[in-house]
Amino acid sequence: MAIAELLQTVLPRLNLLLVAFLIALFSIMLSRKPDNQTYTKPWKVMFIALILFVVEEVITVMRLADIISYRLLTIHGFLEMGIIFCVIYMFLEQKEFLKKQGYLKS
Amino acid sequence: MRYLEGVLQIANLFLAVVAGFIGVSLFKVSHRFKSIRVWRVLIVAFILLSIQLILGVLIAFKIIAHPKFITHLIPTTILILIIYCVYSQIRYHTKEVCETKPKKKKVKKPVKKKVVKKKVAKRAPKKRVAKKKATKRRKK
Repeated sequence: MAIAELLQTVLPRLNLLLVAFLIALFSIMLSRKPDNQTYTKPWKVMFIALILFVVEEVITVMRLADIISYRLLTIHGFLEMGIIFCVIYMFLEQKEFLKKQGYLKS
Repeated sequence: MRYLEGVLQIANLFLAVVAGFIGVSLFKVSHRFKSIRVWRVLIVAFILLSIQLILGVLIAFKIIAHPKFITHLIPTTILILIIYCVYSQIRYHTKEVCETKPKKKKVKKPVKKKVVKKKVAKRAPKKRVAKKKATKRRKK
């Protein structure tokens, strides 16, 4: 039980660290000059999803640290919905790109 | 408020299932082509995300009693997978750009023509001379 509690407190902070690293990687990737070969639009959409995840995670960490206390849990639902919309859009964009390239049958 | 929360959870569940199906359909294609090989890991990450959302709904509706840390553990795994994906995408991108970059044409410097002296091949001894030598030997 102690391990579970420990993980519950440590993992959100670890997630924030990982997210910071990921944002740095994204900034490297998206700041490059675009060329015709790589299709970066799905990655941009994923970046938006990541930002939404950061917001959600920050709220979680602040709630765990008793910085904010709220009973309104609907914001989590909306954020998750935003993330999943981004993911679906990203997949569909990539599928469309593959169709254009001729990898997929239309 | 609780009603809205429940509706959102159900909607998320539905969307997560849809995302999972699209991900699986992309996963089949990603095996074949090198340029989208990174997407395999990414799709696994997003299938995990949809699993997490489904778990969240099941926990919220008290259908299953799960330890809460799992809902934090799965995002950690997802983030690690995404980091790997982005890193390998950057590497792939740099490789591609380096390979396809047009090389600068080297300007050829005018080369001075060297005067090459033709080596005159030594002529083989004529038959007559050889014959004379042979006769001399016989006389001796």
